[in-house]
Amino acid sequence: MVAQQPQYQAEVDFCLRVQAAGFRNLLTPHTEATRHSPHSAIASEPDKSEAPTLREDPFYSPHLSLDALFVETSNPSRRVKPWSAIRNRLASYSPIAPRSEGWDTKIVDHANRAELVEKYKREPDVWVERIEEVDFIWTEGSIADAIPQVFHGTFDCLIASHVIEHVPDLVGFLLSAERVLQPGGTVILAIPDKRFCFDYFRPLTMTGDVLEAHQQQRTRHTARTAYEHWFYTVTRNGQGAWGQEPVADLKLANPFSLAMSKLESLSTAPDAPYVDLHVWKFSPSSFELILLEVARMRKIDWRVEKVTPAIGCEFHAWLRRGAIEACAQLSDAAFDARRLTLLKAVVREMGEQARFAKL
Amino acid sequence: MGQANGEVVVLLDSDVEMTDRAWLNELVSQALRPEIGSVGPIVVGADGRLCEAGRVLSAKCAPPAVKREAGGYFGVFALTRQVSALSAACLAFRKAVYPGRGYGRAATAIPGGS
Repeated sequence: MVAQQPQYQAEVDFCLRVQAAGFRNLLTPHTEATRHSPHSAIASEPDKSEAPTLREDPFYSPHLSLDALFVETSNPSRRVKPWSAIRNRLASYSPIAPRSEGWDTKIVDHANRAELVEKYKREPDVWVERIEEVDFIWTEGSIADAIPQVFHGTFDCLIASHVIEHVPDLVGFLLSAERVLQPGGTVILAIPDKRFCFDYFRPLTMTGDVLEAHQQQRTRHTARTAYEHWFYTVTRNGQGAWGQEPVADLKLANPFSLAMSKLESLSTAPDAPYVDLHVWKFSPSSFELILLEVARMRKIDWRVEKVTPAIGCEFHAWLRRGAIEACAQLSDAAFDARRLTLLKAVVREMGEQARFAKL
Repeated sequence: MGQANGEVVVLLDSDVEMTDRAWLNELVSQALRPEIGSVGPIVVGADGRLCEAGRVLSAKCAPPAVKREAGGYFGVFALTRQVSALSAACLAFRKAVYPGRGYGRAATAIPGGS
């Protein structure tokens, strides 16, 4: 039993090409070949013509192990958990409150429908027919500026799925939400949990980070964010997001030399093209702590009404107005006790990240 | 390939022996089905241990050295089934499905045992 490096094999190439032509490759157990010498793959000269891509063998169950000594059930299974697919259901290409189902929704995205269809049409999990017409295009700056004044203060709910971790000025985004929603409105956020996605090795965002970004009115990510993003982004079994599963086969997404060359070509000038990165990294409690502290500073009026534990690679938060008043009513001691509770919860969450690690 | 006159071609490695008298019947009868591209048998070593039963394209390790009689996971070695790729030790196909030479750039796989 010897672990082998995958190697080029002419017969595999042959079979894949036969299959690509629409035929099936059949294994029959009703006759046998007896081999009298140890196996050696046929040596051949690969050329650069069209190549098949091999990711997951469709004829080998994802419930079976790939690296066990014997064929046995894989623990954990390589099958994508249905609940970790929730991210896809919430993403822009799969509206959570579709007009086609009667929701009175205005859609904000970074591109129009035709461009989104073009972007997602080759993604196997995306049903591009469900992408709805985009009402307002938001590429940079304040989301409130992307939405015409006449709609400000009229919306009941703002749903942002996997958005806020990208926004260079998070405080600015939340202030925009105050402008576009009616005073009783709700912000619903789906946020990647840094413990279960490619931000795995990156440190948590703290309140000072978001305040500094707001003070500088950032519309672009900083070089420091880019360093962190490109140096430490990882994949697990080739995926950028996972869930509450043992961490296996972590790989740095960018070799150091590639990360360096990306950084060398990065311009942080205010008029440079926007480069999309994850800048904010949260766990459920660290997110709640930041909102609590900025409310105490009377900067943002969003109070965390509810926050879920991680579900797959993300957690969900419901925000309502009234945080500044609620915070102002707390005594200093009560406020600090609340902060300390959240800080301890953050440490427990980091412990949970370690619990899934097989590093 | 151009030299062959028949409809079905069987590739056999020089170190492979077909011990079963009806082996060609089985391979050719499957290969002649219009939807079938290539057909291969299970390959066993001289000691009766399994060498190959299809290829698992995403596997990282060699197949388990189990007896042919072990049956495989849920009896899989007793089933006629579709696989992604087969061993070159013994491979039958109609000349009409031969995709020609010109290999892909990075087809990689490990002999599978499931």
